[in-house]
Amino acid sequence: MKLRRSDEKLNEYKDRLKAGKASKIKRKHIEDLTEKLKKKKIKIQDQIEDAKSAEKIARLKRKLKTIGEQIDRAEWLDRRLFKDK
Amino acid sequence: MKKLLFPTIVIVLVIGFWISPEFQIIAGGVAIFLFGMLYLEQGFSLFSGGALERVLSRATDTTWKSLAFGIGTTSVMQSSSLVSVITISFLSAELIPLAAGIGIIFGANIGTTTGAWLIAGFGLKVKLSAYALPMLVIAVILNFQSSKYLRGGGAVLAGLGFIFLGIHFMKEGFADFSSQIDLLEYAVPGRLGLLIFTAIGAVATVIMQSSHATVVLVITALAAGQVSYENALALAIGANIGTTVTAIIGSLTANYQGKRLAAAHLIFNLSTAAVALLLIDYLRDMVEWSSDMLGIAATDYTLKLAVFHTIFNVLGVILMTPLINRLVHLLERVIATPKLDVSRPRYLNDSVIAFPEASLVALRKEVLHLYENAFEIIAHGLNLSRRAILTSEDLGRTVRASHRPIEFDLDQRYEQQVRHLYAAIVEFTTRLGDTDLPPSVADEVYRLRQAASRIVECVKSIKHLRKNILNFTVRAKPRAVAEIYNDLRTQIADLLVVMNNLETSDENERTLLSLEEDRLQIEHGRRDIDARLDRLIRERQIEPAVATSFMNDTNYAYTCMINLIEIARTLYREADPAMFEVERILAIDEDDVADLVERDTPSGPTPEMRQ
Repeated sequence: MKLRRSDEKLNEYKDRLKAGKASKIKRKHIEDLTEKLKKKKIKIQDQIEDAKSAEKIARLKRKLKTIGEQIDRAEWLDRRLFKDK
Repeated sequence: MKKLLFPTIVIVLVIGFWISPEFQIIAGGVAIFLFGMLYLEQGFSLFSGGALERVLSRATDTTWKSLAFGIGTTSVMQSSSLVSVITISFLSAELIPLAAGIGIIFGANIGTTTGAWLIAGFGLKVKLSAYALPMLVIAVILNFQSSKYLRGGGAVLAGLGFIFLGIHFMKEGFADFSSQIDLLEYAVPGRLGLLIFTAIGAVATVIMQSSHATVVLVITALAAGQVSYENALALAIGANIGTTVTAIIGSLTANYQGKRLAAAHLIFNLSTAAVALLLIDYLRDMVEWSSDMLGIAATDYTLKLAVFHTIFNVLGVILMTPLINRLVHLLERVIATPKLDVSRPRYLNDSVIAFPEASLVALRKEVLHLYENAFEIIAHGLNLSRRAILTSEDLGRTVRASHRPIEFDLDQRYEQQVRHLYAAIVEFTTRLGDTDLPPSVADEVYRLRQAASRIVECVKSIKHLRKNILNFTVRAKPRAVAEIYNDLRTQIADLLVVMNNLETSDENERTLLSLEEDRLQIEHGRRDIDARLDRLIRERQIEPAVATSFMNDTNYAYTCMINLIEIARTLYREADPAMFEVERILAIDEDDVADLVERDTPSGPTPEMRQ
């Protein structure tokens, strides 16, 4: 799910970059973040397998869902900054 | 002693000025030289917007690297005092270990000898005053610029200009002096003479606060034939002892690590001086041999003094470097780590405030220290122990099982462990704000101060919650209300675990996006508890008047939780600025929280999160 202010925040970043007030995002930064999220996803999947209480499993599944959405958002940012050009 | 020193110096100077016009010129030259040193130090401080500190912390991770760093920086800055003061500030901020600090100080002792070479080989042969005046003119123009770095460049140039001018006046003074009085007549031969002149060199350096100035004075006096070569060697040895006073003064405002470093400096320089005095004949032979190799004329005593200065400092480093670890152990025993007083700041002190990056590191550590103090109060306020929270396999069960109240005076603990420390953080950030900070550092200082304020707010929220938590921990009735309080306790404890996981996690695997789910969980929890309270009122299990008290408590609890999330976002934010930008674009805002929670709970009453 794309967030309500994603485009607005991206445009804000571009304006700040033009004004020399932001550090330039390179593709490597998004790749590194996606990599961190994917590692976290695997870790949580392992935790779900080991978890015993239903409450903990439900919480971990919500975490897994959020991480999946964050990976989607990172891919969206990658497209907007690099592939759409 | 200190009170007497100042009037004594003034009286000696006034008498000297009255007796001898040449003394006036020499003393004036020394004063201008020291004035130049002050400008140089001020100029380098303006450049310390980050690069200097970053390089320092990266370039000192081994003994050899820290030695090389000490040599390099002191050669460039021409001030071992400045390097030692910066090193003390880094030690105080715990940016570098003591062994690395000692390495830098040892290296600085070799680096400072380049000054003798510059003056002996260049300063006395070239008319430096010819360069001094144009340098001062450009320095003044630069000083009026708005750019901090141009002003820094101006201060460095002014410093060099005044140093050159000072050397010129000292040379003039000694030239006139030598025609009237011959200091050689007062020279004492043999070992006693060496000891006397070593003491004179040490005292002169203490008074002038610069071994550099003493060495310049010795070289100019030697060039003017005012002291014998042997006594000049002793004066140079004495200068090395006297220079440790600057580090000792610098360490007065530093923490125990800074004091250990100043002691290491004193031990190193005293040992080196003792070895040099014992082996003076061998060292003199070595100087002769080295001078022959370098093609220095047999009568060029000024250059020979530079050779001696270098040889005896290098010898000291060779002898002492293998003993660094023993020296560290000795200092750790003699100057013990003080028993930590949790109410006092551990990292904020005057020695770091001149260096923005070091200040930022110290400030972040102090906010973490405040959080550590607050953690205990929050945990006990929830009727839980720190250990129980951090080792629990199932926090919900741990909370439900904790019936016994933890007896402690929350107000007293707040006073002792939070209020004073928070006040120190506010004072430090205010003082930092008065300095010329780079915008990125100023923003981070503001964020850290906000984080400290949120920690205090969180503790205050727990204070409000405490009464009902105690009520429903000890007697779990009515059960539905006790369950609400247990859920609130569990959710806050859960966030304390999240904070702990961030602190102990590998920085390369950490991302603040992981807090997103925790933030959503808070909102889910809040809606769930609101729904449960509504139902209890509807079913008349609790009176509306009592329910408002529970609602207030719920607000306190969620304020504390949201504050904990924001504290984590500040303390563990991405260090790479570009990576931080990525996280900033992808992170959820408060506007998104409601959308995402609505999406996850599309219809009907919110299910109870924890039974």
